[in-house]
Amino acid sequence: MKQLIYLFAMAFLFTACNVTDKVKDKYLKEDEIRTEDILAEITGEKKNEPIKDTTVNPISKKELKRLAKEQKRREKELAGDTLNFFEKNFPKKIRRDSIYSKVYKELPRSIFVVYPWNRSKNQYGDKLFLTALTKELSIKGYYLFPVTSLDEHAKMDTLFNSHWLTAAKTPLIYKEYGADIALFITIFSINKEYWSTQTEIVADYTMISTHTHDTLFHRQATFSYRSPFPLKDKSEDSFWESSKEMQIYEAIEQMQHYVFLDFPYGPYHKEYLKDKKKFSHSNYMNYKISIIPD
Amino acid sequence: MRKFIILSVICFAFCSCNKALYLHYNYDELIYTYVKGGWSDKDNKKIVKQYKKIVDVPKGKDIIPPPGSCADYGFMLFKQGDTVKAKEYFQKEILLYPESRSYMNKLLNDLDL
Repeated sequence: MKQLIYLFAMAFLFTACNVTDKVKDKYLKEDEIRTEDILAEITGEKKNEPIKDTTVNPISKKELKRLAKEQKRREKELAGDTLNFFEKNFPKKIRRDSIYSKVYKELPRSIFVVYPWNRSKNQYGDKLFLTALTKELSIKGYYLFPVTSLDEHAKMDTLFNSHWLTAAKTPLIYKEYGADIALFITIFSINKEYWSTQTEIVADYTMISTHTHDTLFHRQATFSYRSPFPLKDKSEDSFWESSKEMQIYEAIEQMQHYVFLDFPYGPYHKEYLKDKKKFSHSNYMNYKISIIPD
Repeated sequence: MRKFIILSVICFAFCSCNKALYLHYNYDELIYTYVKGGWSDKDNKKIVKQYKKIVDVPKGKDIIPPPGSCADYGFMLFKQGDTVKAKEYFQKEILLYPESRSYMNKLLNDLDL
């Protein structure tokens, strides 16, 4: 019994102190070296010299962070993204007189909205745009041509729209209508699902001077607007056909407001020529706006 | 004294409020419905009647109707057969907005007015 206890104690000690591994490491390595020597003697080949460990200095966490940051910076530079956080989020203020220098030079008084080219599935998209645009730009202080007669003209002549009336025909617009600017609009889509309050509109705007043929303004905007909930019901006196039509018009109206937000004021506005130093977007711009009113 | 100060502050606040350039009333609704078409004679009369307010009772900073509205109203009247009044409103448009002169002259010619 005593012997058994001793035996167990010995076995426990061996396992606890990791003695077996130490013994293995020591004697097996010696055995390996010896066999390599014997093999080298037999084959006559030189024994491989063991590589001595070089001193390795572990990198500190701080250094590791710095390296990772540098690596990220290099990757960004390779991808062409050179702006830092502040430059990206707080871009430099662009002044209107630098972007719309041609507008300030020409000082247009009237804008002729060439009948919009409606490529959307909304049958009345062009009429909705024409109405909303006329209102928005007149508030900006420009003279806008009457919608009813323009619409009548478009009904009689199907070539009288932004698709067929190209920029090359702008002198004709000046000759016939006396407008200083021709505004061409292409409506790509007007989407409003019946289950949603969201309206998505994609349109392209180009303003061309009828005097110099210069492009004064170009924007392609994707506008997403969520109507306030609960939905407004149309009143009994209202001429709107449905509340859906009202919502689409509301979205289009808001879109015009945002697209022409930075456009210089016209001669009928009190801020005319006083807004040169105000904020402006770039002249050529594609942008996406999402508006969710309270 | 305190009342006077409060009153003057309120007056100042009201005076400094930005007045819109034009008052459009329900311009967009009327114009859109008109150009969309498909209305009955009764609706047409209603539209023209409501539109008259935009032209004849202008409000806003300069107390003039918005650009193009007189011509629009004139065109509506012309469509109803009231050529005399239509011509009057086309000429009013030229008076208010000289930029419209060439277009209005062309329109007057086209409509034989």
